Amino acid sequence: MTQQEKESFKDRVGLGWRPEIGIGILQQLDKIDIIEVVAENCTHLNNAELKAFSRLSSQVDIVVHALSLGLASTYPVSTKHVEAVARVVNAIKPEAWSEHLAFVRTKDRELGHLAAPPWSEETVESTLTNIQVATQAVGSIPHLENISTLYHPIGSTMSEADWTTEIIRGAKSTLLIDLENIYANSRNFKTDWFTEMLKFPLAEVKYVHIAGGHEATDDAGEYFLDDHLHPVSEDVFALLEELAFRVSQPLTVILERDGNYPEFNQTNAELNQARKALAKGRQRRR
Amino acid sequence: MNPFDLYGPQFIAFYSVLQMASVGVVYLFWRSLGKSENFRRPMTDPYLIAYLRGGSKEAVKVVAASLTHRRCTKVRGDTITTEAGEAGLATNQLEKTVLEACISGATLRQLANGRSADVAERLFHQRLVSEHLILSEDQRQKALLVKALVIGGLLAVAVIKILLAIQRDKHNVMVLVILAAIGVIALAKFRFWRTPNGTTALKDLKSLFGRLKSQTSQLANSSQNHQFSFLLAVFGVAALTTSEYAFLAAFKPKQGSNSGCGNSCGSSCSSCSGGSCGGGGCGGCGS
Repeated sequence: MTQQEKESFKDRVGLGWRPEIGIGILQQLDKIDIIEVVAENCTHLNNAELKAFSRLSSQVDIVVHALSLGLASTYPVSTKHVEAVARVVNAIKPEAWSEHLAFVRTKDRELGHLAAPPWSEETVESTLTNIQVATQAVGSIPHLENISTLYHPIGSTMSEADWTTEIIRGAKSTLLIDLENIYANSRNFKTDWFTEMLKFPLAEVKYVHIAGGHEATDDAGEYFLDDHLHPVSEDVFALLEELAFRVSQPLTVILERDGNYPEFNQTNAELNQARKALAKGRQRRR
Repeated sequence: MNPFDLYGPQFIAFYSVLQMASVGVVYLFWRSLGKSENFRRPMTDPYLIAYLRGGSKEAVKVVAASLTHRRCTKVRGDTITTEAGEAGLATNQLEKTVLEACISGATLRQLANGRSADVAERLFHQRLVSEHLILSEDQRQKALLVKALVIGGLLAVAVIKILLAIQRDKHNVMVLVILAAIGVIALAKFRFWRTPNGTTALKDLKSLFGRLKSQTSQLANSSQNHQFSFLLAVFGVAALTTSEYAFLAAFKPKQGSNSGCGNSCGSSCSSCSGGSCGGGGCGGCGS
């Protein structure tokens, strides 16, 4: 086996754990390489109950994904939320954990969604401080994920890709690249998604998110909403193929779906399509 | 120091500690049965899970509820009925047997004590024993022997102390009698059904799928039948309300009746009391 074949062999494809599709996941576990567990969906479980996930990790690789820390903020990261995520991660003992490069609360209010901060040196510094706090609490550095945004953050002095690169390198972390988010941002800001993806530090990518969204309309006109309620588009699979072509390191692709769940054979088909996209990208490297 | 020379409160304290130690011995013995570090994949067959949780009666109950949810059977009062042609809609032998029994109309109790229960027993028991999830007959006999010895020892200590007290012209033995009765009843309720692995497997399913309990109203559509059956199997009938699923009234223990536990968990379930059985959720002791 050549080096390239070995690289390809290590690529993994999995999906987010949701109880609504959990039966299908367990039935198809042989065909799933990895499961991503959302930390905030588990914070109500006690440590003994969380062990269900760590026992599951004897059957399939597991990563934990956090939503609530709001690392990319000039406000210090919430101790309460960091401790909750740390407890989940330490009980499940996943191979890695991740969080978004977003803010989710102001000084006194929870926003309820992932918001993009100004892409500036100031937020790079504060984000690195928050990452350090989270790393100390959890015991390992989070993989950091780019988000989708419907607005260009006011006060930005650099591009999202440059801002992300500075943070990834400053934190000595790796990028969890969300291809759907790059695609959505490109659609909304009328840029080319392939070009945008190439601006990110692809050599630092280990995990990849794919998901589906849809075109929506409001008073300002049409826009693309990354809602995780629709099938992954061919464009995103094409981005995945391009990513697999561009990088030499193994990739772990995770399909995200947050509702409007189809029959599991359709989910399985999307996982297979991700495998094919990876294989095609790897094939092009040879 | 001879414990039988201890006076009233001291002996009661000694006996209480002895009782707790006895329960601990029985629990540790159960923990030593069928324990394996090899963790297997969580189960997804609802009927198998229901059998693991509460035996053949629970499996039959979930089958009957599942068939009603799929509109293969109807519930009128306590009676479950079906048309003769519906047996063809069965997806396995247990469903077929339940449907056949329902052609002439059957209550849940009749189903759970009839041929359907025998079929469930035949389909699931040996399989779960071989997977070390429920105790084999041999393990169960050993556990019952340990339990009997422990109960015998506890009773013997109490009886000796009571006889000595009477001999010494002390008649205030009622507290000891009550304490001994409580201990014996608590120990007698250890059912010895699941292995520690089996209990862990069931708890894991409850942890992994706990969030589904808040979405039970979304399962009304019969296309969601597998999820409906799975939820019933893991959490019991109590996980679903009769306001969403009226037919489940026939599957729940009747309020005020004393049979809530006995119906679904067997006669010696340790963790059920009154109406809080949770549809046969006899957890805790591996029962």
